[in-house]
Amino acid sequence: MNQLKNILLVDDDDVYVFLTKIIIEETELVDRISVFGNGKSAIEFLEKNANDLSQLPEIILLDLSMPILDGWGFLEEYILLKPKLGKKITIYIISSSISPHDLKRAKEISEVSDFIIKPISKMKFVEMIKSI
Amino acid sequence: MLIMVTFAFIASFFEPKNKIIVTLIFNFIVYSVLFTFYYLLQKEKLNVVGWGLSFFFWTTVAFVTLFFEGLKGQNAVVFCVVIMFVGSIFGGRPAVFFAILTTVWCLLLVYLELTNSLPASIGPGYSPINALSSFSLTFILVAVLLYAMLTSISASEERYRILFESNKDALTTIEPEKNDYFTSANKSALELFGVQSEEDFIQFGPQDFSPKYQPDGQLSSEKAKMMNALALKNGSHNFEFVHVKVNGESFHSHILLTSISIYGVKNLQATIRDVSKIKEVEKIIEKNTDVLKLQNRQLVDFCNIVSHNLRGPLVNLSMLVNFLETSKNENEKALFIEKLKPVISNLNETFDELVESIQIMNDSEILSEKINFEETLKKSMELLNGEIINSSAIIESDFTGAPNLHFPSKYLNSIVQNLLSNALKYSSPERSPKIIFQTKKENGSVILTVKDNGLGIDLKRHSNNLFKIRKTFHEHPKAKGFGLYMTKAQMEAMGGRIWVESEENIGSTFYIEFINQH
Repeated sequence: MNQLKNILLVDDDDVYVFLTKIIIEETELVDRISVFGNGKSAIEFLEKNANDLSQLPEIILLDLSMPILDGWGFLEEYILLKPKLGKKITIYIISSSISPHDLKRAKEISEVSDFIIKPISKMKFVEMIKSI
Repeated sequence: MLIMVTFAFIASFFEPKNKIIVTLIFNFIVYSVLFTFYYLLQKEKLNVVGWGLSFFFWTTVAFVTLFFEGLKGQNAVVFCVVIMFVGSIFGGRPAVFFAILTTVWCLLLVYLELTNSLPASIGPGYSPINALSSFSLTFILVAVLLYAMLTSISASEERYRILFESNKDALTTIEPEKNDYFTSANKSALELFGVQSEEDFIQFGPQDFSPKYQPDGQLSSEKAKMMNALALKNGSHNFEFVHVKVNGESFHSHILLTSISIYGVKNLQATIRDVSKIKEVEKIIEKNTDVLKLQNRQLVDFCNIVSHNLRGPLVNLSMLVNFLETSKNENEKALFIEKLKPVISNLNETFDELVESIQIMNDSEILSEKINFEETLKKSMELLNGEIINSSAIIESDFTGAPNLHFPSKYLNSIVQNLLSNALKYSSPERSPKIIFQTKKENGSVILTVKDNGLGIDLKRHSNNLFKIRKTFHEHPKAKGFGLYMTKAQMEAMGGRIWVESEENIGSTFYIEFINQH
């Protein structure tokens, strides 16, 4: 199975981030998990490291409801940023939202690979990494 | 009539020059044409008959004056009169055309006679019998046609009169060239406006049965003129208009104007329908739709809150419990239990906020009272005294435009406090905050503006979420995303509005409209 170098976890819920980190670490498939509390700081990170392949993540796990710049706002900025990025990045939305409206909206964005409703299980995560 | 026809026919046999064939052909043509017209009249092809008849009379004049010397002078004049008479019944144009033609023909004959250059007769020539035959022929022709025409016209006129009179729609005609006065009205129209008779009715125009202004603010007289012009231009025009009856009662009407031509004069035919009842129902539907829209939006918001704000902590709880169950390490267990606390307090907080906002939505019975803006602001400033001193904020107010408000004091206190606290919280680190409260009256509403020189909000990005629960836009430890959500809920519960203008790094101005403040 592929070993991933870097995963970006963009979520403002401290407890959830804490638990997700445990799950990801347990799989032993990922070297590093970078956490950002809102979309803006995640975008700033990507902008800064646009050409640094060791810093750019393979996967972004994106929450929707966040302060300052929410998941949707992040995606808008990401689409603009994408051509400048030196690496193919897979984005999963991981949200507690069960709203069909959110699901539909996510499907309309081609950059989003899947919409996963929280909580994320270890199995689901392994599956996700396999599919890359 | 039959006797006369027979007489004319027999007379034709005694032609001095025995040109029987000529006379027979002539009579045959005359009778064929006669019966064709009679048939067309029955079919009510009035226009065809009008042109055809006038043309036929004219050719007859021409023929007779040329070939039958004896019928020359006086007959031309007689025919000319007949043409004009017949033509005018069928609507001006054929009559005018052939009258001109006949006049030219007569003048030509007079000229030829005076200069003595009239060609020699080619026809049978003059004889008393011939004259009598031709005269009786003409007489029969005119008599039969007039009879057929008049009965046919009066029958069709009667039919249309009944159609017009007994129509349950109010029908009128208007003549734009007569200052837009009515020229006729049916019974329903008289009843609709409460006028006794058509004679009274035609003393007025539509503008006399209207209020000075229409609901859209236009002068009634000007709107009426505009609508008439449109109908004349486009052939017909549909619109709504407020009319006033003779007794002063006003009603909404739907009007169809159709441009018609009566004897070549442009008229407008108006069909007027009283739609007041429909309008009333429309208003109720509109109001209900607004309420439904608001409630639907609140429901969607509520679903979002449940989905985003309640489900999140619940997911955390269930995950933590799972970890607790599977963990074998006591230290790890203690860590998980420690993490449970903030999740539960977060859940509690969200739940309380939700209950509070739902109470507002259901609190439609809350009582309004007279409250003073100055006092309300003073109260909020006292509550936020610490923050004001710490940030050395300058707070100005001008409530002279509207010093008081009729509103639930609980809500106004909360609104003013929220806006003030926000302005202090999101002040710019580069300058000390300056917050200006102002009120003014506008169209029966009071508008409160709260202007600050703070961080401002990126409206392009956040305008959709600004008033939503748990949405924050700045990195501030105390940003909760509840104040503006509550303010909006309170304003909407009272039928008011809140909106914002803002520029990043310059400041924001919040506008709050309190309705029904007469």
